[in-house]
Amino acid sequence: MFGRWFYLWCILVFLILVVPILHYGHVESGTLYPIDSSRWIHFLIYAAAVALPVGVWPRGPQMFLSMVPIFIAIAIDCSASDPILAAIRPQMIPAEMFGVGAGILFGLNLRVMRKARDPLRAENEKPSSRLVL
Amino acid sequence: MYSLFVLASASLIFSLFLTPLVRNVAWHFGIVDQPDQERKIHSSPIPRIGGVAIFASVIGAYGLLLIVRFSSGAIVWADLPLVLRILPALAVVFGIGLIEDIYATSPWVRLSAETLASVLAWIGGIRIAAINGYSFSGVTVSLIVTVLWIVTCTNAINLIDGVDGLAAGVSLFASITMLLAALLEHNYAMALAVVPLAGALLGFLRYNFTPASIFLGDSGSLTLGFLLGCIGVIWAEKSTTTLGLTAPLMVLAVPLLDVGLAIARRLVRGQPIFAADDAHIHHKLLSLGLTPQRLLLVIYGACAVGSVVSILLTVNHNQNRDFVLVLVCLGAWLGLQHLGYNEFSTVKRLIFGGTIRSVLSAQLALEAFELEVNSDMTLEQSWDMLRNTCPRFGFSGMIFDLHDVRREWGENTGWQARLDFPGHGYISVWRDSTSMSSSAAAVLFIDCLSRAFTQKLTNLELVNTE
Repeated sequence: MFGRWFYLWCILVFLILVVPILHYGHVESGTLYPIDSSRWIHFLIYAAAVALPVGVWPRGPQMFLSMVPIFIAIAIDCSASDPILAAIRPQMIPAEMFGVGAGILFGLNLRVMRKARDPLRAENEKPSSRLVL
Repeated sequence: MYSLFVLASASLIFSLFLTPLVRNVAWHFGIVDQPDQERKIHSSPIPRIGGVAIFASVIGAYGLLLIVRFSSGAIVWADLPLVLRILPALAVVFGIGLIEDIYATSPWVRLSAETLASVLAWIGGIRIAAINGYSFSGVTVSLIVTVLWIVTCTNAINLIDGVDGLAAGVSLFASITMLLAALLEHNYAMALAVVPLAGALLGFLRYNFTPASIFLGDSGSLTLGFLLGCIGVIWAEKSTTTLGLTAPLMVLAVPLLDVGLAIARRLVRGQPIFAADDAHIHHKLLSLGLTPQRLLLVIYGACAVGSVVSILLTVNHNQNRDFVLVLVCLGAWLGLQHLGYNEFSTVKRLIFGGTIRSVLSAQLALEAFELEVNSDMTLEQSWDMLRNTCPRFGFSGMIFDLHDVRREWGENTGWQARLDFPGHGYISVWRDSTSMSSSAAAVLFIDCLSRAFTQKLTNLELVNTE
């Protein structure tokens, strides 16, 4: 179960990091733009990308390190200097920050629910040695 | 600004002097809240008409403003018609609260008075005409929404009045937030409406903070809730942006959440909505081991978060409102999970754990089973059918001893249910306590068995008699 969520997290982080790079490379896409210009989609993807480590992974340095790609992506949006991109990407930053907040809260809720369902497993939970970022 | 300072100071000073006087009057007339062993946490009688002091202070402060003739006295005079139109509504709420403090009334009487007061306020001009920029098509919808909002706010402050300093403190947070929002939006009329309330509450808290020497009482809590609801409507309607009720909702988030939980909880339990219980948010926090002082800190902290959110929404012209609402809901959910409301975790288990589905499936199977047993089936055939049906409901053993048919099956381990049919015999079934099938379905099965075979044996008796 842990492995499955890790792969999903990788896909989300890939989307979060690659799409801004495609924009900066002026790779225009009729499919990409409508999705990427939606604040709600930014919000949901960032929320999911943060909720997974917070809610599912064991507590430890891996959980905090998983936030690094998220904040790198937000930093990329903040540093948009191209005039066209500067008109688009920074508008998404509030939605992305709110998504991070929502992801943390949702992840904490998941953690509480998992602990209530299986307190013994939650008590014995240790950072997995299989996880490598 | 001088006027605001004068109003606040005057109401604060009046409240500091009037509250002990009202307390003494309450002692003299015996208008005290008696402790009990169930819900109330105070251990000695406490006077409970603190609302009289608060509103006397507010009225006194306005009177002083009009007498001193500050420039903002003109604003007060300009808005006086609105105040006069709302006064009957306020009088109704305050009156029913005072009657409730002195005598006890039925919850329906109180609700009727609150509804009447809300309708009077709507007639007086306190109207929600739109939500999130969408105007209502007719006056009926506006009336219903306005009455719902004001009645909910009225009862929200009343329900949260269970710990020293809680309702007054929450109301103080709400009024200070509304004052800040009014100043930010240059809505000085609203600022003038709120500032004496804040001053009076601050003075009252001096005596109401734990350990309290006087309580708000229903005259205080109902009227505070009513006023805050009305001012919330004014805030939403007169805002320079399409604020809607989001910001007032955030300001009163804690009491509104408590009233929503109370209604949901009582609906789930099948209790009357107005039945008092000891499962409000403050009761749950106390049961977690928090002292009254720490409880106040926690709830004041939550109120502060709500206040900051509402101010930010006001300043940012309601941008990102939807995201803010999602975050607030997630935060509330997280807090509620720590409070341990069994009702909602049980409902979740029933719905998502498959219990409802399994009970429904069992009920359908049992109806078919009962029909078959009562058909023209011999006891021997009934035994065969029963032996095939028992495992479906988690039973692992059975003794069937009716008339001349005696059969045994399976292992007699776990708990046993024995059904006696006087004059005919008995049926015993065993169920292992580790069985994975639904125990609710097992109980339904036993009940069905009893009913079906009672009917069958009665029919057999009739046939034999004939």
